Amino acid sequence: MKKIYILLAGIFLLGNTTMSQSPSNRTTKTIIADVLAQMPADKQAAYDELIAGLTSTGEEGVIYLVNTINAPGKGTNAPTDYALSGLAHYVSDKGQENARLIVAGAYVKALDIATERETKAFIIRELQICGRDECVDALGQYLAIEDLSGPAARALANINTEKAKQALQAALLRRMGTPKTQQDVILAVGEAKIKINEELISGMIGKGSEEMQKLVLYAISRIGTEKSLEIVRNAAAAAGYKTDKTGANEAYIALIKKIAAEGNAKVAEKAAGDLLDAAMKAGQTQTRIAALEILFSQSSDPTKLLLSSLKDQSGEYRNSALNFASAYSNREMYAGVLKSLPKAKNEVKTDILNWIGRESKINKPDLPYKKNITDQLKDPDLEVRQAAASALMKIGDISTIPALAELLENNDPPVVKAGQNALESFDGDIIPSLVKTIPASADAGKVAALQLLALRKADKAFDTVLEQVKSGSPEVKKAAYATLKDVVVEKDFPLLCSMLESAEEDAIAPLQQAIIASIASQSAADRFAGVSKKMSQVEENKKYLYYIVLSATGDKQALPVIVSGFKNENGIAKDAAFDAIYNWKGIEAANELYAVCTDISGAAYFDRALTAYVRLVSLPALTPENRFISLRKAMEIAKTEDQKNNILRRIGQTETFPAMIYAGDFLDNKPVQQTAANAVMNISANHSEYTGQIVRDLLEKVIQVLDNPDAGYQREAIRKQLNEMPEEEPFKLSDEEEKEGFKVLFDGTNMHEWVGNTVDYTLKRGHISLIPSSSFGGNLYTKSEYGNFVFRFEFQLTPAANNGLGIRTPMEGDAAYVGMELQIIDNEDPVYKNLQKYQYHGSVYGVIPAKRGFLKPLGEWNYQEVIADGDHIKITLNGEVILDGNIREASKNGTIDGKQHPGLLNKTGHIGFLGHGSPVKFRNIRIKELK
Amino acid sequence: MKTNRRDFLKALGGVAIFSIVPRNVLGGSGYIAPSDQLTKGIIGVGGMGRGHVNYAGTRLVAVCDVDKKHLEAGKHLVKETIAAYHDFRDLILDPNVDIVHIATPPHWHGIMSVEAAKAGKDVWCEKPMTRTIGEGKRVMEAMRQYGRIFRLNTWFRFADPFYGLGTPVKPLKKLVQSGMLGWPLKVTISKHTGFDWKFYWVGKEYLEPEIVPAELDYDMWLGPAPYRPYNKHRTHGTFRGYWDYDGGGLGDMGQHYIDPVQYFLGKDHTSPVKVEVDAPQQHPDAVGTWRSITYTYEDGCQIVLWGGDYGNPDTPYIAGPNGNVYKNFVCDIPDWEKKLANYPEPEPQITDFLESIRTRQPFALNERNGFRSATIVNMGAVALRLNRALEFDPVKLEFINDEAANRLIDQPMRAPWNI
Repeated sequence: MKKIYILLAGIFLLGNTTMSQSPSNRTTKTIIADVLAQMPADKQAAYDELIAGLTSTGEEGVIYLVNTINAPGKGTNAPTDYALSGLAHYVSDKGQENARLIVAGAYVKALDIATERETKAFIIRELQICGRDECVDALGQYLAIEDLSGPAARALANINTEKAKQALQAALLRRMGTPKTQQDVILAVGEAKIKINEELISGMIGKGSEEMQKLVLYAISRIGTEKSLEIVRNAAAAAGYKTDKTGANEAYIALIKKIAAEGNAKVAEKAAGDLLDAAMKAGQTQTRIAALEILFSQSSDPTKLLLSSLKDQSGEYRNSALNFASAYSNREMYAGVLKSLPKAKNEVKTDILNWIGRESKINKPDLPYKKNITDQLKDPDLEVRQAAASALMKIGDISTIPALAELLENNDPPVVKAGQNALESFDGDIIPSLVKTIPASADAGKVAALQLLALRKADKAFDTVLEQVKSGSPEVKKAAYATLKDVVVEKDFPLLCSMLESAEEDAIAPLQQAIIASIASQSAADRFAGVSKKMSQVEENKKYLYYIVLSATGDKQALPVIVSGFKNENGIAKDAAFDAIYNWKGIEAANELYAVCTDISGAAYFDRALTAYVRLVSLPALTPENRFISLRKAMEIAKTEDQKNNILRRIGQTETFPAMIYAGDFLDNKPVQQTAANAVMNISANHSEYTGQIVRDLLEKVIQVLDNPDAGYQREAIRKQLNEMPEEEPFKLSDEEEKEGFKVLFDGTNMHEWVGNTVDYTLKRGHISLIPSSSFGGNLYTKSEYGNFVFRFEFQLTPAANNGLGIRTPMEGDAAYVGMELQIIDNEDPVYKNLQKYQYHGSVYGVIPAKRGFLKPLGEWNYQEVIADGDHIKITLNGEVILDGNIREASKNGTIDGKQHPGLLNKTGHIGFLGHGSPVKFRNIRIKELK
Repeated sequence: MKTNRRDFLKALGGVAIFSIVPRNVLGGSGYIAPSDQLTKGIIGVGGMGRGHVNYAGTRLVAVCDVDKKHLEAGKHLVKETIAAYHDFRDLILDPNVDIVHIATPPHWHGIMSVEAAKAGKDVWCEKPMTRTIGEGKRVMEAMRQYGRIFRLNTWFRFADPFYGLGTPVKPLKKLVQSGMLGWPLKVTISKHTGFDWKFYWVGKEYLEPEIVPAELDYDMWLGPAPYRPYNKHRTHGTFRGYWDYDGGGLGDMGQHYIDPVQYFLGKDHTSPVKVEVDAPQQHPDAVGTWRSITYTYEDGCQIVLWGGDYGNPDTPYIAGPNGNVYKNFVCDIPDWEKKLANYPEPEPQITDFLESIRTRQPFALNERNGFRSATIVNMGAVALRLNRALEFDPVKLEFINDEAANRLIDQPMRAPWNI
């Protein structure tokens, strides 16, 4: 833990409850190293703290960071990217103006220093975020340099101050740079609407490449005035008033719009009118529409303009006119349009009615001439009728319900459908009108009305439905039967039962459903009692009709009745009993279904019985373990691939360890291989506690067999999981260590020997894992104190991780000073390029430097031995002695970091891991005390 | 007066478009056999575009791609010989094309939609609609100005069971609009109810510059996006991981998941007034992951997104003061189905794109409601990139008192591209 600060009592008051060590008084380099090591911050508070720290380093910090940016292809810049972009965002916030000025100033300086094109571009992009007026001069220099003119022009356009405008204008005036840089500047001028002498731009029309033309015309359409109208019109005319790659036509439209918006109505209206005619001649409907939009915006009589537009041949044009008119719609406009409705052509009627519908939803107007709309329901043209019905539904006036219902009386099915659609969504009581319309309707209308009654669950209309059950044509009858279940109430039960007992075959199922629905509000026991009573009264050969009803009661007493039916009956009755078991909703039926599967005489029912069994034993009513056992039983008798795959999928969903092992047995079984692989993968992904060699082997196998479009991602995820899977065996001392008298401080199973921040340092199968919750992870100490010792442990680092091993230290204070800190740090990471030697891994922090270069690659375990014997400290990392020195000697003329280390020569103290905000892991920790 | 192909077809009456018209009806001197179908051209025939050849009633006549290999594959999507373009503007200007189908990465959607509108074409655009709020505004304006029909291609507001809800959205809409759940509502969109935010669409924070493959016109692929050295991970198949082109899983799935919510909450005309994020700091280039994004509307309704496995699995999909809706469309209001029968069905929507083109009535998911759901996605992206809560004005369509956020509404383009 290398921070350099004076411990202030007050910090603890400000900090959070864990032992967060606020990094005041750190050097710029230390702050930056902290930021780089801990970015991206996971939590907002940590991010704010880190960036606030970085902000405090001011210009020095930014320039330092920019200097660490690698050229493209020469190593990652991710930590620097996070830091610099975090900084740019942070300082561009409200209330950070002073910091922003400093940071922006530093970026400007850094821009000069940077040599790589990509680095410069990166800085300019950051200036686009946090730069303001003060950066204009610096950015302006890049306007003539290809490759940087784009970012620079964009940044200037974003800054968009007077000075930024001048910089862009100057670049145009002086004609500096190349055609490409000029394009960047012209685009930016257009985007920022910079008011420069427009002739400077309009003079370029017709010259240069197509791309240049496109930008020049775009810019003039954004900054031009009446003066440029003619020249742009000529360009549009040359393009035939249609779009081309130069965009002349659109530029002309945009320019007229701009002139209109600026209040020059006369000129704009004239130009738009002329454009309307010209586009008509050129056959360009979309251009006419654009001209019409401008005319609407300038019109003193939009109703008149709309009515004349509605005479147009083009539907696109008419509908656009209606859309534009919506902005000016009022009662007068509705009156004008609706008055014209009866005499309009069919397609115009449709347009108007659709528009009236949309208007009604938005404005809910009180419409005049409503009768004209209702009259259209009788129009011979189908589309007009559809549009009228839809419009009336949207208007929602309940007095029009009967007229809509009358559509159902029509002989033409599409007209019936139009009425049905409108009534379905009509907000109001449609039932009386439907009841009235049924006798007068043809079959299609009757069916539609019945469906609507079902949808509204119209129990008031039960008699009407019953009437159709009795007297309707076969088609109507079928619809009426299907409707019954939605319109019955409890009192209809006896009637429905008697109907069922005498029903023809097609009617049985809907009547059963209707009976079930009629008693749905009763308790299960009452339902069972009622149905049993009916069954007892009915002739023997009709009893089977009630099995499915019994099943739906859900009462447990019903199941034995059904099962006995299945066992004792034959033919239809047996089938009916099976259906009833099949549809049973509770787990109780599982055993019965399994019995059907294993009974030879039940062969005809096997597939459905198995499906139902699997469905039931997968219900959460069973524990996952029992689900697995029941499903395994199913697997043993399954016959087809579909059955096996289905069962295996369900087995996977139990997410138990035995299920994973079981599914693993099928990884070589082609027909079910993918299902098995998915099961193993999903269970393992959700249960990182399932570990060990067996699991590893299974996952390796899954990686091999996976075959689906996402397999690449899945393999990657499994590999990641395998890497993170811990060793499981508790650590044991070697015989040698045992003999020498070592004692285990951490064997991977418990943290009994440790105190301190046990919130961030936690036991993760086999190791201690530090996942810092605050910016600085806090410390973990041995319970006991140790003076002279041999301490052996293993550790694993994450990118740019920083931690430390405190020895002979008290639990309070910064161990680097109140005791001794032996650095633990990923000093190979580029963020630590500029570390002091006494900050290298293994160094006695600030006192004796260690040799660098013996850490294992990230993700691998490092083995380290620390011998502290009096004043003599010796550290061996991965077999290499990296430090061997005497602390008394090293500090006799003051320490190399020039700081006070009052605890350096402590005789004894705790050993501790000193958190510095980065994730680190430790394991296999043991110690031998030296006497 | 000249007539374009579509006006000509329309003059025959709506039905004629969909049936085979006898040759003699249309014949005449200089006669070119018109199809009985509307024609379309697809821009972007990579994975997405090649999957969208067939929808009833259209005929593919042109394809476009900046990758020669994709283009070659695209040419063989149909048996007939079709036009193949490198520059999308050539496809858009092709008089044989009625419908422009945009299946490129999102950073192109805005420009291409607007260019197609200028040329008088109707547009079918893949989601997300645009990658900035500003571009979405331009698309809305252009569709209106040139009188075009626009379809944004996600369909859950009118078809198909809706992920973990196991039902199409229509009955959900009916339940919500009935008011039975009470108001305001909170909708939580997470993996727990089947909405996976696909965090495999994250970018790599460090990409070695690579040689641009000969078949790819990288400059045209980037188009309006800032120049960055080529690496294949930026492009085909993995571009969603980079802010310059999309917004990760949020960009990919956002409109699929959120658009139906806008629909059933009745928010098609407005946007949330606030967005809050809980996420690690985002890299300036590579899209990262997040824990939650919370949107709040003026009336207190909320949409909450949970990334990865975050959040409590027992949370209802829709939570209201008087009732909740859980996974598999389980509602905890007693007897709710019966009660709901008294309410009208949601209004029918135009779900046939060709009907929409023929009648010039807006498609169910069009540039206006599509813009609103894309805006939710883009509000989230801006809040993630700035890593802070933002307030939004749904009328002015800008963030309130946050200059940095507003700079991300209109992101400047690389010349010669503008919108």
